[in-house]
Amino acid sequence: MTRKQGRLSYIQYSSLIISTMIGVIVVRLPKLAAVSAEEGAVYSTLISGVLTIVIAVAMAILGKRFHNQTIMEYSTLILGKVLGKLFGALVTFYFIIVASVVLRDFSDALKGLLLKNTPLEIIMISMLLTVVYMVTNGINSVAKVTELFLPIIILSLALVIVLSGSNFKFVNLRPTLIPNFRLIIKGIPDLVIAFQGYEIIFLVIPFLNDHKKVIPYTIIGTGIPTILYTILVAITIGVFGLETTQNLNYPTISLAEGITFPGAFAERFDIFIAVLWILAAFTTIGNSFYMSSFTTVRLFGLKHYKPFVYILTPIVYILAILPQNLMEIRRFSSITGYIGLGVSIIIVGMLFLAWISGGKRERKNA
Amino acid sequence: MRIIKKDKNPKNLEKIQERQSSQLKAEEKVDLTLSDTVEENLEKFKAFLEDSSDAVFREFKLGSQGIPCALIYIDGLVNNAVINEYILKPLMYEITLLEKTMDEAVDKNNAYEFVKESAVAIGEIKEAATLDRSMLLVMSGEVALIVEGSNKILVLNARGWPARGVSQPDTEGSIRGPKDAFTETLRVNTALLRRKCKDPNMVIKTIQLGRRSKTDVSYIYIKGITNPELIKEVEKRLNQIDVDEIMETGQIEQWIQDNYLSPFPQVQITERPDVTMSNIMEGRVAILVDHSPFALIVPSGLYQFIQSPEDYYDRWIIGSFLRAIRWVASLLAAFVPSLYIAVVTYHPGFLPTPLALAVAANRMQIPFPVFIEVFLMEITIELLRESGARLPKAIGQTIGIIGGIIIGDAAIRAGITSPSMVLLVAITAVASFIIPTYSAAIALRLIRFPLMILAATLGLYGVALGFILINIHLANLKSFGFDYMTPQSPFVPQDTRDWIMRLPRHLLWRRPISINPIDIDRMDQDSYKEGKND
Repeated sequence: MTRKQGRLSYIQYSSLIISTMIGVIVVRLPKLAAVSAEEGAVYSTLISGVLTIVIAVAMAILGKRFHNQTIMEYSTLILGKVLGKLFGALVTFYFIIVASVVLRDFSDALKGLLLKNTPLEIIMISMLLTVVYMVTNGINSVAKVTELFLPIIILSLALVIVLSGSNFKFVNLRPTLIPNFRLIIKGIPDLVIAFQGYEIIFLVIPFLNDHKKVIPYTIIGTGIPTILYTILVAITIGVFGLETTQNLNYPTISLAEGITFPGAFAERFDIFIAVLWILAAFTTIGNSFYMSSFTTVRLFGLKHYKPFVYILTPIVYILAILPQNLMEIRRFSSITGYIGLGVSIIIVGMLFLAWISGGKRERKNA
Repeated sequence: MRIIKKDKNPKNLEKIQERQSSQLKAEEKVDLTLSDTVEENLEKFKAFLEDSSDAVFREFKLGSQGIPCALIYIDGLVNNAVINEYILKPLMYEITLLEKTMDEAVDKNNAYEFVKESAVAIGEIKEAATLDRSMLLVMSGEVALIVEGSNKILVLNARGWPARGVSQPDTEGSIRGPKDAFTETLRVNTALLRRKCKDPNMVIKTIQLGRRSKTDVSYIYIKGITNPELIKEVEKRLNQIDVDEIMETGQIEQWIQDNYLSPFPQVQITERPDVTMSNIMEGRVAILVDHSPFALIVPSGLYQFIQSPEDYYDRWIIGSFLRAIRWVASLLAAFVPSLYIAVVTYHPGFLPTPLALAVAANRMQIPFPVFIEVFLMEITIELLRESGARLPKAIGQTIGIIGGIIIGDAAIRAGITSPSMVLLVAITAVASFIIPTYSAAIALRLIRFPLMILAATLGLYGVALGFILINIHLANLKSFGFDYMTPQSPFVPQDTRDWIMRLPRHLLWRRPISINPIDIDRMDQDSYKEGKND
């Protein structure tokens, strides 16, 4: 009664962005940064985050301009019918792939961390079914569940960072503090991909109650993961040193493993963090799955949304189970990442097209 | 008098047909409009009530001219002293004195008006123009007075039936705060509420539900605070109920709740007038049912089930502490057994080494896997709890002792369970008893079992999945169209002041915004500061 179906608040908007961005990748982000940017890890993460904010703000400006439509509709408006539909298909395809990559990535990591003897299929199916349960109830359900989990996710991440302070040695971090532009730039492509998830912006904006303050809340939504990620990378390198970080499989979990607090009930803090990480992964998988089903429905211009969720479920599952080994998954996910980057850049391009054409229209009206 | 009769019991078909052919049912035999002779009207009542031994038909003659009159009432529902002293005595004796002083004989034409205006010494009088209405009033304990020459019936209030007095609450004890609880009589309950709030804007509306039982159902709100849309929704949902009988608030609850598949209560139930009143003051609607010592409060969120009235009566630090303890307890009650299963079965490394070793040593003798062990003990505790609740108090204590020995000692010696397991079951049980609302506590105890199965199959990942599933369910749950998980989802910063914590009174100057009352402010924000400066 108080809120109409499909009407979201700004807080829900920001939390959707944050929870989609902070996801599976958080457990191996420091490794990714250390491997791809080496000595430039910290700066590279920060700059990638800032780049992300810029792209996200560009998307938000575009979304604000066409705030009654989703990307699927206004792309045909800007690019023309054929190109627009093609672009819509690309976006849809991208989201389906993202959902399955994230699902697979999560399942592999979970198997490695908690359930060594459980078949991958069981993990994937149980997670997928949970996701389907959330997604069938629409955007409101997704937003509200996100709101419930977000404090837990951020608090647990903050807890890891704060409690690792005692193991932190500044000597380890020092080499990364000297800016080396070659390495920083080398790391950016991989790290920008790690920040993905902000694409949810252009699907959510039409559902918002109000559009005036979209841009500040976009900055909040993308800024919080940027800050957390940068600190996380810095702390991890400070604790383990650059080389060890490069060789750890899940540095964030290892970080938690090193935490001891006196008189604690739980000896292994890492398991605790791994369980909380499941929540973070769930929101990411869930939101990606929502995006893929939503764009599919819009691509075909259908009215009913629920049946498509069920149709998409096996497709996502099969796509997720396809890669045979870790190498293939990584390759798969980096390819998706580049597609995503491409899509983002097209969107920024569209923004300028819209700017120009809108400007023309205004001039005509005047 | 519509009665539900769509499907007849096929076994009794013969009897039904026989009855239909030989004797008409009362409501079909009788014309429901009233005539103006006593004799005919009496016949109409008798058509319904002649077989009932508690129905009293008292015929008498009125005044000097001997106008025929009749009283009809149900013995046991009325106060006989009132009938004798204030109805029969004036009508049979004092009326002749009146006639003499007024020098005017009462005749058939003015008898009804005369009786109504000058003779009967009763406070609440109603006029009934149909048999239907007067019959309903008679059946609810009023006295029907038929006077010759009028086609209306006077209905006099002389109610009086055995009722339990106001006593202490049984299920919602508190150390501070008023000790009265609702009783089974609706009028007493509404009086308890009126005593707490003298605002004439407090509306107590009553409707009758149940085709046969015609139970009085009152809904109470404050005009100018409660959102009119909410009131409309309550009215709509109550009026949709079309059943034979309403016996208890629990039945109403099941008709008006949003999701019947959920284990979680979506309507708050309380037997305390103070809780009911403060909820009405927040802009909610309370529903009272005759014959039930409980009030329903809608809409309600999960956080309300964790609240106790003492949170507000005690100082805020104590109130917040107690409330925080209850939140922790509700989590413990739901998750401790499954976490134990998951940790012991899948992730023994999670525990500190000495503790892990102790648990393993304890479990050496146990023939069952952890899941079976936990399951057995949890079922035992549920058995004990249920038997304790059903038994008379004197025997209930015995059950407590026996249960204590069985669980505490004998089960361990018999090698069925381990000491750490007993500790765990005890923690869960105590935690679940801390939750003030019985229906919420039982929901948490229930979801324990599926969580245990998840933990046994998928370990901590299963528990996490269970946690996620419960949260999805709760996030989508609604109570009268309002979100169940307010103020966290959707996040309403203002309302978090009275959520896990109960902040100082002067900071709670707003009613819960999440239920959208018309009047938001409930105190003058400056009054606190002004009072301190003096």
